[in-house]
Amino acid sequence: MIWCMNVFKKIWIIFLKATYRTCGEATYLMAKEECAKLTSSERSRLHRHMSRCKYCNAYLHEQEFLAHNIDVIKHNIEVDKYLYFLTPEQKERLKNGLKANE
Amino acid sequence: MSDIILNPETWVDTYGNYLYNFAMMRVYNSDTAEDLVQDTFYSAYKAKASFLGNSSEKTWLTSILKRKIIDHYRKNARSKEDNVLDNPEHFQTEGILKGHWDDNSLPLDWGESMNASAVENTELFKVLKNCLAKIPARMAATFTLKELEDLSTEEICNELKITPSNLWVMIHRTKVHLRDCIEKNWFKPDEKRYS
Repeated sequence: MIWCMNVFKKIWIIFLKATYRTCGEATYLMAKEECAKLTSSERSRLHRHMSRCKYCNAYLHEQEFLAHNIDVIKHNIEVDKYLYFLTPEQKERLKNGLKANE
Repeated sequence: MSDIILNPETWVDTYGNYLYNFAMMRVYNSDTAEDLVQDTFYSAYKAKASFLGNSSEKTWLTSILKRKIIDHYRKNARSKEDNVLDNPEHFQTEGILKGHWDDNSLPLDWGESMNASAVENTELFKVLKNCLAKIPARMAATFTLKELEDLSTEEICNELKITPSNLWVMIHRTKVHLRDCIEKNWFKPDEKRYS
């Protein structure tokens, strides 16, 4: 019985491998999709992989979360909500550098 | 001639923190950011006669800084030997599940962390920067120019002298590496790992 289950499991995994992209390929296609248009074959394979793989879905959500955070921080800087501040020494160095050019 | 009068003597106090933050978002140490701001002021001072006043002083200085940042990455990305960031530690390299997530690198369910407060998200960004500082310059350049500088694929390829397919591979490897690095440094060990 266990032997049968193992054989079935192996056949199932081989079927999955043949049908769906690996996680490595799926994450690569996600990166490619941000820069270029995927072919219809790539799109459908990615879609099929994503419909089954909870790990790649988690990865996608992480990437979206990071991108959103980066946008928020970029926006904050535009409205003068800074993460970093020049120290008085740094300001002095910058001012001295400018004076030296005058 | 421009109606806007440039005041180089006030630049540091008026725009210093803004430009420094702009640079710190895109390069990964304070010395480099300070140097870029210094170079920006220097170039702007030299070019002040050519300022047409079509944009504000701040926008003009920012556009000079942007160019400096791209030049910085182009110079640092020249070394070809460090452009490989292999992913074998993130994906299985052999066996029936070759190419699928390695057990130690399975993406976490970030769950409630995604609703984190602004303060925590600021911490996340600092972790992201530290992770970027540890990867090869060429890889960090592709991520930064794409995600932070919003350059197009064509622009990045032109600046770094790489092909689009090379760019996709580098961005992919960088992102896979970064998420792993963030999870290991932002979360407590074994937190929220799938069972």
